Amino acid sequence: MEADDIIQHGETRPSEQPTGTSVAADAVTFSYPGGTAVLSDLTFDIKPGETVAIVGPTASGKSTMVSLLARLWDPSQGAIHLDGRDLREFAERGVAAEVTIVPQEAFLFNLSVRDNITLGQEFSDDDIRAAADLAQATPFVEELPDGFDTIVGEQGATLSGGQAQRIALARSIIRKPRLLILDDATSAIDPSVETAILTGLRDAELPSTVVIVAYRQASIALADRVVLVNEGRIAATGTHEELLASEPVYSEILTAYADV
Amino acid sequence: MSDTSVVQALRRGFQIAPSLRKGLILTLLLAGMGTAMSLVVPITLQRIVDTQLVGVDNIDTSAVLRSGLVAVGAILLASLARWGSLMRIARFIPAGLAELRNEAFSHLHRLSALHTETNRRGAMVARVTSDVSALEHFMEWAGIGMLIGITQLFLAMVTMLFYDVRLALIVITGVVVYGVLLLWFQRLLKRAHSVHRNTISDSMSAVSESITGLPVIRAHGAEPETLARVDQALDRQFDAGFRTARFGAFLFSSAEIFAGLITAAVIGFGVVFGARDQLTTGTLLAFLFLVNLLTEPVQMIVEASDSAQAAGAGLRKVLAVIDEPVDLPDAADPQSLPAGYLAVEAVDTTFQYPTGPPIIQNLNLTIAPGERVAVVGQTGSGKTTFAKLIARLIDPTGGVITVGGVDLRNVAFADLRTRVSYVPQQGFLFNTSLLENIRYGRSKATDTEVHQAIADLNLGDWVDGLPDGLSTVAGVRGQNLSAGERQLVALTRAWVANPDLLILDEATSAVDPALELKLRDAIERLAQGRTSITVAHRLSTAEAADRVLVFDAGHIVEDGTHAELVGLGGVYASLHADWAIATR
Repeated sequence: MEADDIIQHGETRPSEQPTGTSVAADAVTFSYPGGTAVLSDLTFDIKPGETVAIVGPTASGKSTMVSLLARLWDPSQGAIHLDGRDLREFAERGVAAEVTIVPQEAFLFNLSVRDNITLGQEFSDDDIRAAADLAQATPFVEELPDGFDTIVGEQGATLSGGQAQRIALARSIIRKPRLLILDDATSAIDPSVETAILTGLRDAELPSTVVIVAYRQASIALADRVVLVNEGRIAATGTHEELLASEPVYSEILTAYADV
Repeated sequence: MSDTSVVQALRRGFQIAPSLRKGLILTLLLAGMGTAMSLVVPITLQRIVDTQLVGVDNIDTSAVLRSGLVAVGAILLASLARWGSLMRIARFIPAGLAELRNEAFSHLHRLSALHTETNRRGAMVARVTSDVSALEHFMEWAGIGMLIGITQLFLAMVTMLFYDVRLALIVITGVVVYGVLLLWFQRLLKRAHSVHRNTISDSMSAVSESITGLPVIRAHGAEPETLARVDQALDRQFDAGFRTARFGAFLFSSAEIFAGLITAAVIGFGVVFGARDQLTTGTLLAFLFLVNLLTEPVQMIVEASDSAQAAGAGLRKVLAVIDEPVDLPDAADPQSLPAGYLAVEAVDTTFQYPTGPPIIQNLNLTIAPGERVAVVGQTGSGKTTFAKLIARLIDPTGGVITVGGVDLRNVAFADLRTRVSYVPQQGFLFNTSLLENIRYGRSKATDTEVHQAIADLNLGDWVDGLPDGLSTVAGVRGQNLSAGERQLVALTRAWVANPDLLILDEATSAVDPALELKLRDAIERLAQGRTSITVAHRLSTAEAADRVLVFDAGHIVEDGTHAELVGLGGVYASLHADWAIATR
């Protein structure tokens, strides 16, 4: 591994403030090593506590965009700030203390459901139960042979895709992040359960700003605001209704089902 | 080796890997010959000393020279024989180990998806790599050393008995006492080795998981805890390894003490016997040389026993994989599938994982040839398991599934895999070009056919947008592509395979709506001219199907067309209402 590949950290300690964080992307450009730009000159603001849906066609850069917010990668140019603090200035694990991202393909370890949620960190049984409730995971977990102590098998082999996604979701919720990112994290979950999860997250009044990459209208409609991404750029932002009225690309993507 | 289970394991190993045994007798004979020749030196020495040097007035130099030449000749012959046996080992043993690896590997492929899912993959990789390596070390070096050692030990003792029974008995008593200690130690060592190998596969699993799960660990700031878990596994491996090595080190140094004690005893008693009973100087010298010939093989046996224990544990683990009963056996007396569209029938079908509740319960169902069926239901209702059963990735634990009127267990896999295609939820891509990945659908598909498939599925734009088109490399597990793109590849695979029964499991769940629309059009064409069963994530698929099956807790609770089921006002109607709200 070359020195360039090693992530550098600053001194900023994570904030303990129990509110969602503001997010600001300032002229962010990103390309994978040796590739063309996936994101170009991206600038946007998300207010504390806001729920924002990111919508766009496949390969438009949505996943890359949210990965940058969690500092899984750094922008090639530009910067991302949480409450005015550059992500690169955070101390080691500082970003993770404020931001959690739930990926599309849930990765489970060959551990118990409980350990998959806590990842070995200290959480009370009540916290675990509350997170699992919010992720709509409790009902099926309780039917497993050993409940929360059931070992899920390598990469969650004994669970369905939707069940694995719900455990991954609980894993993120329990950390009460100031920024919760769902990267199409409910794709294998039934629409009614998905809606229940998102409504539940809203009603729980989590101390979190929420960024969600979603396809289903019902999920998108729950967001305060929608960011439409196309070909690595922000094509438009606004409420769901505004974009439906003003952006043909947006309605084309969303109404694709309705036409069938 | 006194352990019978090792003998059994070896016999089974020879059976699986015949190259290990090929020409083994000649190899051993050559090695034995090499050993026997080494005894010529002390015997010659004794004769020269006793007949020419001690108490003789004029030395017959030509006789000494002749004896010397005999010794030199013997040494040359010994090296030649040893060289020959080593060459043969170098030729046959790797071939045999390759056979063993291949058999373990192909057996893993004979086991059902169930087996490979519930066993940890890292541990299975260890079975075909490091466990076979332990065997390799033994077979190529330690095993033959042990046999040579035993031969040398035996011949040296016989020679000693011939020279002087009393001295020989002193030496043999020493060897026996040491041998008993050795046996006791071997037992401890065996246990230590087995524990060590288990800790190695545990830590391999922990390490590989923490690497594949890196994004999750990083995103949740769980590095210290994960590191602690890996550390713990590595610590356990280290402790077990150190314990094993400590036994080994003790054994090794104890061999030196043993050699020293016996040499001292031979010199002490030899001088006493010499003064009293005219034990000749030559005989005493020959004894000292022979004791030297003894210590070497005892050390060798001691060292090799360490390796033999590792090899025994390794072989048993490899055999445990190979002898795992095939839970998904290929048909012994296969019946061929009828031509044309395939019907599907389930009779009292039940399935449950070994440790779980039933997932599918008493399923009875007939799907007509050419029918397009959509399967819907909540997650965990048994849809995916149902799809896997029909593709025979798993066998029902009760009841029967027939395809084309033939019990799936009586259909040869070769036949089944060309007629029935299964597109799983998360398509697995290999680290090669998309073209080659698509060819996994049908290995003989030409480049033109693959390009045609892309065109038929209306994916030309997508492929043109990739860096190297169809030559784009997918990356390990297809990581260079998005989840949606991986599914496109999996669908193209199925198209190239041109099956008579198509089973799609939520294959379109991760593709965005605009692209999915394109795909759905292609899938509809794909579904023409064959029976298709689609586990539908989106109810638009169900709307387009001839028939909809609604699963709930492992049962089919509703069965009919979309319109009928909506009219019924039951589970499907409410799912549909949810979905309509969600998408419109």
